[in-house]
Amino acid sequence: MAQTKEWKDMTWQEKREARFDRWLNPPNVKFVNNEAEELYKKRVTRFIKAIKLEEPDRVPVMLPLGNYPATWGGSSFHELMYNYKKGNEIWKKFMAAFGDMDTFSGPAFIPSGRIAEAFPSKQQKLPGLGLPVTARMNEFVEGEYMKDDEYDLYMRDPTDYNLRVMMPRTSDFFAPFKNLPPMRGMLGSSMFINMLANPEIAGIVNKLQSKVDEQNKYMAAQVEIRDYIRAHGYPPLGGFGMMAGAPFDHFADALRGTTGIVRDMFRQPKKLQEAMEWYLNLSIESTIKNFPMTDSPVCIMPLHKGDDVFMSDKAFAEFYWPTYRRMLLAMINEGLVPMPFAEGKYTRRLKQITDTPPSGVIWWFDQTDMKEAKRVLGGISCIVGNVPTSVMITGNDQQVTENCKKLIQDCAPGGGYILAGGASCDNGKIENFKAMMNAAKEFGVYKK
Amino acid sequence: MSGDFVNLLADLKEEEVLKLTQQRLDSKEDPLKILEDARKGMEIVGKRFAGGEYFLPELVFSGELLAQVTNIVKPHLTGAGVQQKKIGKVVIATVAGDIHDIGLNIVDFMLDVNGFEVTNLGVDVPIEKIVKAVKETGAPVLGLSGFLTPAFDAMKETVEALEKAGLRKNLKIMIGGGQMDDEVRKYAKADAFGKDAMAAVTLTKQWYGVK
Ligand code: B12
Repeated sequence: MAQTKEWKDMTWQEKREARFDRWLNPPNVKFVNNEAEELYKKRVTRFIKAIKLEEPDRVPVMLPLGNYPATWGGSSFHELMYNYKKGNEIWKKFMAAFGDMDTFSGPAFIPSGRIAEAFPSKQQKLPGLGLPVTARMNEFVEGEYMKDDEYDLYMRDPTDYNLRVMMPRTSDFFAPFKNLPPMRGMLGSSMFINMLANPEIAGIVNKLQSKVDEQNKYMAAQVEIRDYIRAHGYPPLGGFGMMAGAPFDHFADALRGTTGIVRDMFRQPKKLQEAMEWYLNLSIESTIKNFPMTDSPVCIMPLHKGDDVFMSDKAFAEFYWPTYRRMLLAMINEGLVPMPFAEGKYTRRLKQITDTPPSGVIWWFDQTDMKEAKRVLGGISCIVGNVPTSVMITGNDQQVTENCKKLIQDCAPGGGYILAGGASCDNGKIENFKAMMNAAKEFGVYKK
Repeated sequence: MSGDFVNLLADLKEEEVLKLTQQRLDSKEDPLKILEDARKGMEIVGKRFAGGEYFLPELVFSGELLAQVTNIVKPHLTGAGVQQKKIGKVVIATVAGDIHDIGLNIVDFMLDVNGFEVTNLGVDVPIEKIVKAVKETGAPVLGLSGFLTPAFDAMKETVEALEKAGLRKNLKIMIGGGQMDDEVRKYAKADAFGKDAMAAVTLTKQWYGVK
């Protein structure tokens, strides 16, 4: 569609329409046949209507597949870390065996084993690398990686901080980065050459260089499966990796850890507020504004430490929501569709998250009471969720059907609902996933 | 002074609590009395958590305060402290393959302030280690925590191993944490599922037959 107005003069709804249009008509996808193209459009339309709080033909479904195809295909996380091709083959087989799905994507969060091996990090363990080979998930190791008196250092120059403080601290391999000169002064070739004259730094660069081919192979495999899936008519939901999360989580997760952030809430709340404000503005200015056109405008944002257990209503209103809300508004303003994935329980939070523009945000819930979510957020946000993983994995297809039916009855009326899991299920019976898909077709059809 | 101390701790007033601890030591008060008051303060914290007034940050921070008070007081302790009389023993653990311990530590905290002697085995605990701990402590109650879907199987296998070891009959097992619910309880053949740390206390009290 030809753009008649300049981007900066468009309303957020117009910008979003332009992004929806690109999602519906992806310029870089070569569909295998007309049927695939039609299905693709039908599926995307289903999601767009749900997002806009309208009634699609039926309730759209996001199956909680995660890396389920790996288990289904008799492979493992560990094997797929090394054999990218095999992963893609299994995913293709699974897609064909399963048939109709509203959205589908390739192996998720399985990093390249050879690269992970070469550059060990204290922040992550993987099957075979710190975990038993049979482990089904990677493991993020929480810690107080940023010290309590380092907020100012971090804010003054985050790039410098990451390179010279964080990387040496979280990985022995990058320890020599401690001795780098400040990066902000790096202008001109001789400074770079001097840096490489240090054999330790040169060693790091050489080792990185030696893995470029491997990285290319890994990326090529990802592109291959992505294109294959789309060409067969399955649209992506989250358009591009993971975008920034909530400012509070930015500090609470990877930098300060749970106990660290709690101490800051009590001992230096102003500093924490200042840092969140700083991070918010940086994200808006450097990432969100003029965000490029992407395959889908939906941005999935996992939220961690603001749920019903992690803090009081008061703390949420003080520490979590104000900066996160402004981040959401900035994204909406760019025509993006933020989709917070509220891990844990958000039932008490519901009343606190109603002040965003209608249809601007999609809320995906893990253990939140969905009936209550519909009551409070109906007319404000599309809601997504939340067949329990326990039922998907340990239950039978009948139980899954019952669960989905109830969710659809509670949440679907009037539109604005996507049937999904609360968290992904890496094992279980395929019939249970089929039952979930069928439930939407059986109980989720909107009468015209 | 003692009443102030209890309330200041319960209100999480760090500076005041530490100052008062030092003052009490300086005025030659019995250090055990200070620790006893600290315990009373923690009990109030637990009550406020159960009542929905306090949340995770308050619990974690109260733990920080208690550790500091204990550190200041410890050097002044002479002889063994009198143990507070406990209702009974409970073993808790996050099951193998799972490293989430925030929920586990809250359960530990709440059982402790409610008068139980808790053996906290920590995270990613191998089945054999749980079996061993149950055997050695003779605790009649076991709490298993888990947040991941793979923990469904880890719990089931732990219960089976306890059965095999002949320890199941006299043991009550409760489960809880993130993705756990009553479906998983059935799957793992545990005795009860608890949705929060208060449930862990209620269940344990019930099994011990105390109010
Ligand atoms: C914080 C967190 C982490 C932290 C853990 C830090 C720590 N020291 O524990 C870190 C970052 C390390 C982490 C790592 C991972 N995590 Co995590 N994590 C969470 C998160 C956001 C919160 C969990 C939590 O601590 N909640 C706070 C507690 C206190 O809340 P609560 O559950 O209500 O607790 C109460 C009850 O459960 C009860 N209770 C708890 N135990 C027991 C026991 C008994 C006997 C009883 C009666 C009651 C009881 O009492 C508590 C207090 O009232 C959850 C999402 C969520 N909100 O549940 C994901 C979540 C559990 N994680 C998840 C995942 C996938 C992972 C990783 C694999 C991700 C990764 N790529 O790193 C790794 C797994 C590592 C491993 N092998 O365990 C998924 C699991 C999904 C799945 N399909 O299994 C979740 C559900 C997120 C999601 N929705 O996708 N995680």
